[in-house]
Amino acid sequence: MDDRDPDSLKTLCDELARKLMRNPSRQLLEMTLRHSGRLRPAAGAPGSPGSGEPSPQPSSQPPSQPSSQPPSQPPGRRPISIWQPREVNGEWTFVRPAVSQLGDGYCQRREIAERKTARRICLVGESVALGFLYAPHLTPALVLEQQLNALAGAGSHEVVDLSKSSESLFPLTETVESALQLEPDAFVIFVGNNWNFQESDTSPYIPVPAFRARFARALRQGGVAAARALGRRLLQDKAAHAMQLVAKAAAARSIPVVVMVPEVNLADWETRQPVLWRSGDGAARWHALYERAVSCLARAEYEAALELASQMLALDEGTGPSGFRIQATAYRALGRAEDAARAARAEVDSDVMATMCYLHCPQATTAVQESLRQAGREHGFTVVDLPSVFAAHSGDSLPGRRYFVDYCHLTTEGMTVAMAPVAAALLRGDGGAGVAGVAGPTWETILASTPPPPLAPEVDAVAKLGAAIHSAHRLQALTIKGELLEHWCAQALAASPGIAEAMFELVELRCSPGPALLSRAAQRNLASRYPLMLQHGLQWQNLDAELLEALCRALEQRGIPARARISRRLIESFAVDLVPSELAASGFFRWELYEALFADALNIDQSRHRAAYRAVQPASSFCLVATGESDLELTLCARLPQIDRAIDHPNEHSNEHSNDHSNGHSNDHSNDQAAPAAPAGVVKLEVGGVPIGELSCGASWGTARWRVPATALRPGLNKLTVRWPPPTAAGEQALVAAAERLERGLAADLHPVFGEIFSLVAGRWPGAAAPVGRPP
Amino acid sequence: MNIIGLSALYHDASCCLLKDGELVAAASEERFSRLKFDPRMPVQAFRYCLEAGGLLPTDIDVVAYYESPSKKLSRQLWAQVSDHKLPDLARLDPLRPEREIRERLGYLGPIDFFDHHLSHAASAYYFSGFPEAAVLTVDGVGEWATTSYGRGSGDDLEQLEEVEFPHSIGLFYSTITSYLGFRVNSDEYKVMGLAPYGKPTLVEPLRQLLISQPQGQFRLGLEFFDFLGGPRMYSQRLCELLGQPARARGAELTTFHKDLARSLQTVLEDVLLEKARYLADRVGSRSLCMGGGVALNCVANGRIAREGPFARVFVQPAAGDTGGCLGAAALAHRKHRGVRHTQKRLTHVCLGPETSTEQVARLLADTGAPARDLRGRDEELFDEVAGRLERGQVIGWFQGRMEFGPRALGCRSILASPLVPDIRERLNLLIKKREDFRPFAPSVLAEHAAEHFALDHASPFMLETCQVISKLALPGITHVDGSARPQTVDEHAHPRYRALIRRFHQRTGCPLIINTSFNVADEPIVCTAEEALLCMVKASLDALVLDSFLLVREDLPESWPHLVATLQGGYHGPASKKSAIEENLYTFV
Repeated sequence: MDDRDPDSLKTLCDELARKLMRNPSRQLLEMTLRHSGRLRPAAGAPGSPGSGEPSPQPSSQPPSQPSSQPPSQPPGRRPISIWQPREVNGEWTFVRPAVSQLGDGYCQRREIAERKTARRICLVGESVALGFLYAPHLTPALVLEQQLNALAGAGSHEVVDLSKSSESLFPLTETVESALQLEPDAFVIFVGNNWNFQESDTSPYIPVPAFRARFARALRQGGVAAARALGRRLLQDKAAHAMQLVAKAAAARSIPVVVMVPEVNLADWETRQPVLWRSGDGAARWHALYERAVSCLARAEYEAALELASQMLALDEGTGPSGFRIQATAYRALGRAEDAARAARAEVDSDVMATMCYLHCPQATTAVQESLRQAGREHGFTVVDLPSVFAAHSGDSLPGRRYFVDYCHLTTEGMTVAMAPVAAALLRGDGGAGVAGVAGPTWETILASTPPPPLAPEVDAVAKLGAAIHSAHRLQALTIKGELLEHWCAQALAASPGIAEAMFELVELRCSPGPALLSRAAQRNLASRYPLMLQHGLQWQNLDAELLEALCRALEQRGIPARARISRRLIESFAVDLVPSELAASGFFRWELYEALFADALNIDQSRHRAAYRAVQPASSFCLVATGESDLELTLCARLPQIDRAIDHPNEHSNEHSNDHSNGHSNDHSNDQAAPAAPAGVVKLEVGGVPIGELSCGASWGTARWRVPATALRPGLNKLTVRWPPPTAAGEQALVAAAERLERGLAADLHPVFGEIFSLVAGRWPGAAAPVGRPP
Repeated sequence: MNIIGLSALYHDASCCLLKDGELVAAASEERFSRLKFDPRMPVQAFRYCLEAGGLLPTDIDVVAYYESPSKKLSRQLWAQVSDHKLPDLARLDPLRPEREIRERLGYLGPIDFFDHHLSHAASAYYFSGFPEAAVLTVDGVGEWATTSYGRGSGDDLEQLEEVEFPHSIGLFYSTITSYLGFRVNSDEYKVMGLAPYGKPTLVEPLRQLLISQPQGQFRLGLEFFDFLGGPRMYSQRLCELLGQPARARGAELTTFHKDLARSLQTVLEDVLLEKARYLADRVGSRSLCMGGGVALNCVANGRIAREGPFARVFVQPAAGDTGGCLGAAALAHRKHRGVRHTQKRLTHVCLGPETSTEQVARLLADTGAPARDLRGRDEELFDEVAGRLERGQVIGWFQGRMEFGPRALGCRSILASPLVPDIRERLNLLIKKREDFRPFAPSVLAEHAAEHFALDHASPFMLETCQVISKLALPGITHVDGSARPQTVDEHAHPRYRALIRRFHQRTGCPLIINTSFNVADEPIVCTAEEALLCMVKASLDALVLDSFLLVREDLPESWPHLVATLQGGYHGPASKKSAIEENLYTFV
């Protein structure tokens, strides 16, 4: 380490630091260092001064070399995904870690032995390929193997499932490369459902300063459209690169590749996102249109809904999905199937990872599908085009719950239909595992001649209950949430009525005060014929209000008394008139679960690591459980946030930066903040749709306390809603401020934040009578 | 006056609340986030502190931050300037502390920024109860200072001299820690534990790395270091000097490694002792307060207490950056009120959250774990636990409010008998899953401490080592050099814990028990009863006391270990270790 001349350099750095605290600009830094002779030009290198390009970030780069072997491994073999090589009696076996009773994101096959006589097909993919919700009992790999062996003879084919839940692009290529050790006759690649903004290397929501800055530059240069186009192009480039690596690996051994173009649930899935800041009061006007359009749909006024949707799309320039979803719903109701399909596809394509606040599902956009088709053309892969296959099979251009348990994961029929053309290609010979030159069966023939895969009704029921749970967590619905959840609950009961008990156990799990997995209910469930696994949502720490309602309805429709039982259980655990609760501090009592759950896929620090809850929609709802026998006290501490910009310009007001050599120098924002006009408005509170009170709110925290009469409450679960005033009309300023932050590598919101709640406490009103028969 | 103290954005982010001069609450973010050493703005600890004080953000009069961003930026620029590369301003981000206090905590009022070492010094002096004292702070680096010398006098605290970066005792120690294959900023205490196994054969070469200078000054032999720009902290010259390549993590520990650890510890202690003597001469006080991460080196503390010129030594129990928030808050109180916040000594650190008896009862009822409910039957509980300890069992002990700082002191502890011959091996390998050379510390009844340890004063925070002089055979707590790191337990701070030890004493004649932190390797100490239950299963503890409830391992459902392991892994496969710090290098950001 050099012993740099400490005194002169320190003096320079002290001075520079003082300047930078006032004006944290890269230009100032560069100019000062250059002027002092401390920085010499170095032409062109990335990250060098003046190059304008951020340094490459390691996180997004493909591995340049195969991963190195740890010293304990036998020479000549390397791991394949989580399967580790072992040599026993001169034979190689790849062994995965112990399989958990609760499942994990990999195939549960314990060992993969050396190839024997059967033709070996390696299936590489994501959770769709893994058979999410049905695995390990039924998976696309099992279906494919059954189809192949039914046609080509028992034991003729072996399908090795190397799928991994949440698989991403370059790990996928590593799996393909390492899987060459298994000497496959063909690869089947089933991906595209995880190709979201996290693969795009430009996003305001990924906590990598260079990615943010890249997004901001595009935003500044060409607006939202340019930023979206950049994200799409970078993703396609990355996907093309990954497919090139797959092709190279396969070509080295002349192994054919079948690539599956994924289809998604267009009919039954909806996506709701916060709208981006729009010019002037555009965001507020957009939300007003949205409310009206959804009301029109509810009243079956479809033409009016279409008109409002057009206005929404004109305002948001197609950057949000809601306008398209309203169109799709209205067109469908009007019997205009092709228009509905086009709108639903546009809804999926509005994913444009870069501008979405929450992770958008489904993610297999038209661009993703086209990338895979293009890879097929370029590299000679056989392409199985599921959009065409499902459309041909159903005669419907809007695939829905017949094939999908959620936005992209497949039902048993979905798996069967999806894998039949793969089997056909493999048997035909263009997938490499068939008999060359012999015309094979068509996928329609395979479907007709292959018996349905065997499936225990209990397994089917658990998967369908899992579909309800998963949809409750992931569906960002405009209209259909309750109906879809209820559908899956009813389907589960129809498949195997005994699952009713598992449904009650699920309620117990949600009421558990400790680790749900260690609860009595979990122990009973795991020992039953309907064991829920992690993929079925066993472990979520949320009350799951919408799911509980769907369970009640489905159970009662089958004549099973449920509502009173479930309400009683909720009251025992959560009634606020028995034990006061803070409703806003954690995600547990959040009504809309995606607000709590989807943050894990985005910038956690920006969206979640905060002391206060932030509302990104005009209304925020919470679960309020009460006995209904006592009046309640509600105390709200909330504020209306300012646009996050002032703190990025501390030179205007910071004593810290002008008084470096003293200690205890103070910075008081409340007095000298030069910022946009302070927000002000009225926050309204309601319980079960009944107005409870109002709070005049501003940029500072305000507190209010209200009495909720017992008559406004129902025993058990109630919906408490905070309605926020419209966002500021300074839409341009907000977007500029966001871009400035992103350019500096800071997190920023591209959408309005309507309000923040530091505390929302519910308890029994002081002096109110205790619920009858309960402790005071 | 409500003052929030904050230390954050480097490692061990923490928050405290000083309410009208009373330290009401303090906690580290890692205990809530379960991310070890979590450096992020401590939003959950902040919420906890406000809740403990019954406050909302608008009730806060001032937030005190433990560092000066501008001075830190100056040092960071200095470290990053090179001929052809512009320092990465986005990464240094000097406005981050204020921005995150505003945005993440939602706080709009005044913020006081205090220098890093001044915060350390204040966290020691203002909580010492001394009317005047010399104050020594030593760590890796904060802003420019790496070591500071100060004087506390009544309400005032004055910094007299400092040693500036890159010359740093903390970085010297961390560099050799890294060379020895341990994690920087985390595993220094392991090196300290390894040292007694070696001989000081490498002291002379190491003195080329840390060169004492007149007064309080010293220098590093910079040719042996590379922590400014390299991927590791040491240079090739160090390997040449020591004649051995660096040890790979997990590789066998040889005699050379043990000798190096011992030599490192010796050099550290010698320099600290020398500088403590200098400080005593300069200040003229018989009382010493110590802070900074190096003050967690309890072996050095012990030597300073025994061989140094001071009659009284106070080491702030959260001496590292964790405790910086205490100092900042105390400085803010001094600034705004004109007087120090208290004249009293900090006697306990039970400042964190607690799980109520009712909450524990609900948790256990829900799991169906057959726990014995011993509410109102304390004597029976203590007798039962003491008996189990006597029989060689290892027991989780969860009581009251969580401790603040790195040490478990009887609130979130794993306990065992020191009389059991192989207890140390069992604890290290099976329970804590850590290196076999690491010793365990005892908790001893204060009035019996002098019978078993060469210790003539209270040591309530387990921050100093001394020789074991007991007539009892105490293999569980006696290190290879005959030393131990006792916690003296009095009636005031931990009455239930003390009652347990008394019962153990009555049964065995031994007034001390092993006390180690309630966690497994690479996890933060447990905060809630739920986490204690999970940790019991993970660590295969023989029994667990949650408040007044006793659980025994044999009674737990057989499926629990598997389920808990699955919970750790999650749906996406085998668990990846979560740690918030760079393991090979100080990041300096």
